[in-house]
Amino acid sequence: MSLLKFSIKNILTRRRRSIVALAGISISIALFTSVVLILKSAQSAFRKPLQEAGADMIVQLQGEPCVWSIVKLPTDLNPIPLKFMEKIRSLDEVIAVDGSLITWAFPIPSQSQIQKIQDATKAEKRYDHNKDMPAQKNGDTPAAEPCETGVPGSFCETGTLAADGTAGQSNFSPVVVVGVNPEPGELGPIKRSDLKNIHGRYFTKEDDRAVILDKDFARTRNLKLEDSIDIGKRQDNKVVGIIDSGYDAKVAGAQVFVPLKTAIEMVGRGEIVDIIFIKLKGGINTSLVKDKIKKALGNEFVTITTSKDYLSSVAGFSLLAQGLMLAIFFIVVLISFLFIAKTAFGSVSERANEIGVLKAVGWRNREIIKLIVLENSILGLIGGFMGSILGYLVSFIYKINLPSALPYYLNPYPPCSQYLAKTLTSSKPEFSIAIFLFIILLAVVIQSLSGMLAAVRILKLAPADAARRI
Amino acid sequence: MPIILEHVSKNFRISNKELKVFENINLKIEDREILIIFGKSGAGKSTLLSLIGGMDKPTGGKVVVDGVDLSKLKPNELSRFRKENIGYIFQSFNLLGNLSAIDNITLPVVLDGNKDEKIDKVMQLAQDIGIKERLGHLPGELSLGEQQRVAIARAMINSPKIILADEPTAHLDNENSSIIIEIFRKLNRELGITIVLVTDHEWVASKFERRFKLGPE
Repeated sequence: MSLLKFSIKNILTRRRRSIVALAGISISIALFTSVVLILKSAQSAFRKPLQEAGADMIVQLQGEPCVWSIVKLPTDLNPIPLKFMEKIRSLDEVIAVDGSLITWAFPIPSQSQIQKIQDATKAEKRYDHNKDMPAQKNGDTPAAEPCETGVPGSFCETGTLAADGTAGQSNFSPVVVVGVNPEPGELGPIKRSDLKNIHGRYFTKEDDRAVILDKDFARTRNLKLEDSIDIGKRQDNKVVGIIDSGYDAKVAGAQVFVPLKTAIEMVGRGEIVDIIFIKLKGGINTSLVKDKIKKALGNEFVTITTSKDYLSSVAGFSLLAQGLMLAIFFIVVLISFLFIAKTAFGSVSERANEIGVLKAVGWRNREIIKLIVLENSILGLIGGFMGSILGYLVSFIYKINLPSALPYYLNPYPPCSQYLAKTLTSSKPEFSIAIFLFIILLAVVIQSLSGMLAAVRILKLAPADAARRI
Repeated sequence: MPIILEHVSKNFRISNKELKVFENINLKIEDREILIIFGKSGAGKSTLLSLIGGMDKPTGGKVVVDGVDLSKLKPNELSRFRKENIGYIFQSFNLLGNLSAIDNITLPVVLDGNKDEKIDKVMQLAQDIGIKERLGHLPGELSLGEQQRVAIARAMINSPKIILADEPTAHLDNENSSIIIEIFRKLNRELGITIVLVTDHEWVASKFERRFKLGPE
């Protein structure tokens, strides 16, 4: 009989001991697996928004936009001239660059409404946006374009309408309109791979008054394909597609998508974007690229966001929380492994008498150690497999749905909007074969090593002493 | 295979105190001889037997089996020596409860190969000692006498030159004890095996010619 057959026989014939050992290994490995997968899911969830946009980096400019425009850039975002994208594209570390224009489009108020608002705000000092524009360091810095003034489109800033009561927020609720590249690539709010989620069609180069609606927005407004919608001053925009962007928060998530050139015309501040998506070459030091981009743009108000930034600070996932999670992870790992080790050690220690008998009848130490290691490896293999599956099920049941809002500037929604930005960031536990095999290997190694240590301890006894132990 | 004990002593250390079991034992057991070691409980009979079998080391003196000083062998060499030369029968049988009688008997040779040859040998042994019908049973399903016979068969599987039996009749009634004694006599007579039996039963000791009394008279 081979050692393997003898090991299997031992496991099968000592059913109670084997079941206890398997239960111990499975529970420990399940605990370990579920914690690993849940933490990994949490990390993935935080990385997801940028990953879904296909970007390693996002570049924006801080600043104060035209307050009084009907269609304006979101508060705190400044225009970035399109030529800046070329500068970024020319960097060696960059693979691809694309830009979008996020805007807020307000409905045109009636004359009586304008009058009411003007009355309510005439005592307030008119905001001079040019005063607070970013410092200009060279000729490439975006110039402060003249804003359309005198039209009280920005009710969010005045804050008077809600108090007024005559015109509720819903009447003046802005719509988030995002101008996107009509030729989708691998970057941006709508990538080539997202086209399958569009009911209807995507834009063509010739499209002028065509829009694609977010599915939720279309449902709320009861809009269908071929319907018309007014955006700012542009009337009769035809709905050519409805995109199902899911429940999760998206970078530059929009209620209405328009071709980039349309958005540029609507804002009327020249050839601009306000968010740039960048795909980097693999293994690039992002800090270095950040510095290069800042230098290239020559603007201290540049905001550059990576997944890591988002994870560590933007998403509110503080260093303290990360530290705590890491501590919990290590405690769980320690408890799991100690539990496996103790189970194996105890199980083998109980066999001192058997080991003594084996020695007495002529088994050599290495044969006994081989037997113990083989038996424990088999138990570790089965227990590791069962535990991994159990851990996966637990983590799947505990599927991560993190209610974490994207940072405002990545998904800017007007505070006075009747629609809320999507805040959920979810991630399913990813159970890769590599993790699966690694965990099983870990179970096998810990179980067999612990068993071997116990056996070595017993083998130090004289066979007569070992055989006397019960 | 002759066995020589020269000035053998054995102490145990228990709770930092030295416990003297016996000292200065000198004994020679001739080839093909049956020796009975007897004495009262606690006299150190089983300890002496385990020293002869290389299952423990003496505190002083030496044990020489067939010219080999056992204290000079390394653990694995001792295991090999035991496997090739010695059949050991424990006082409480020490059968592995999860294995059937046949698996217990083949335990010393389970990793050796030559399966058919071994099965033939086990069957012959089982026939000789009257447990052929019980080979598929677990130890818990056997009587004490049958368990002892399985233990004897296990000790015999490697055709040893020496059998060391620690109180082989301790748990048996007189009828079963007589059967076991007769088995040992037969093994000695027909196969020329040197046998060392430990017992505290005067009745068992009286059945054999050469006796070595351990402990006070």
